[in-house]
Amino acid sequence: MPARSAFPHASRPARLYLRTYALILALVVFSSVGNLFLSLAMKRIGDPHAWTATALFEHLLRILTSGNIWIGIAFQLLFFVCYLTVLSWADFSFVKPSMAIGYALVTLLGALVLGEPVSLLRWFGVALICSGVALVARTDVRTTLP
Amino acid sequence: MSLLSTIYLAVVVLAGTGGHLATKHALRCVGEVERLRPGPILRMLVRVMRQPWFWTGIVLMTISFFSLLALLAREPLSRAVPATALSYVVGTLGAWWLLGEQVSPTRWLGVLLVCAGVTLISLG
Repeated sequence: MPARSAFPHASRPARLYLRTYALILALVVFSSVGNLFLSLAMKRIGDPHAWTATALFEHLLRILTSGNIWIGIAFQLLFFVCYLTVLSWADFSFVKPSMAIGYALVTLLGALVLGEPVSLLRWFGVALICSGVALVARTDVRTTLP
Repeated sequence: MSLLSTIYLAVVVLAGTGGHLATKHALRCVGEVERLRPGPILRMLVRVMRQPWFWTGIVLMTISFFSLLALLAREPLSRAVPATALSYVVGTLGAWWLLGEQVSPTRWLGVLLVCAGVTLISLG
């Protein structure tokens, strides 16, 4: 790749790809686990009893004193740190579509671990996403000068 | 879908994408994390928080989030699907146009497949 000699990564593209994939995988997992905990917490808490200031305050207090909410927030923070780190070198147009692999992971885990039924349409969507992510993964991680 | 819902949908997609692009631009000003160690990552975080583009991004993402809440208050969840699916195409267009990233035909094909796949998953 002589045309990309201006890129600091040109001498170690394999390592660059490995780091990028590893971080994208990590941030997708952190984000999914975070969402799981947030959803667990909010399902247990439910809707506010009434739309008055007191009831809303009590509702907020219930949310903020839930342990699962804070676990969820911690995972979302981890997600954001990984996201910023990978975006510090990788193209947005590389990272954004690659993150869709999360849909495939969540569907696969739901089917295999929780035994959730998955429609044919959804499996077809997962297949499209996987092929799309595979195509994006074949392109250059970064196409701009630092 | 009413005009107001369409406006909310547009704000969700445009402000959300704009927020991510602004964040990416801020990170470009900061420079890349050379080594995956806590030190360099923390330094990147501190530096990026000094970038006005980073906070522009955070504000835009917040606007997008509240616009999504407003949209969901008026429309069923399935109406939010176009927002999620469109953001892949709009995000790639924005990265090419505003950030100067080179989107090869292979990458475009990948983005379109992902967009179609996300639409199907949300419907099924």
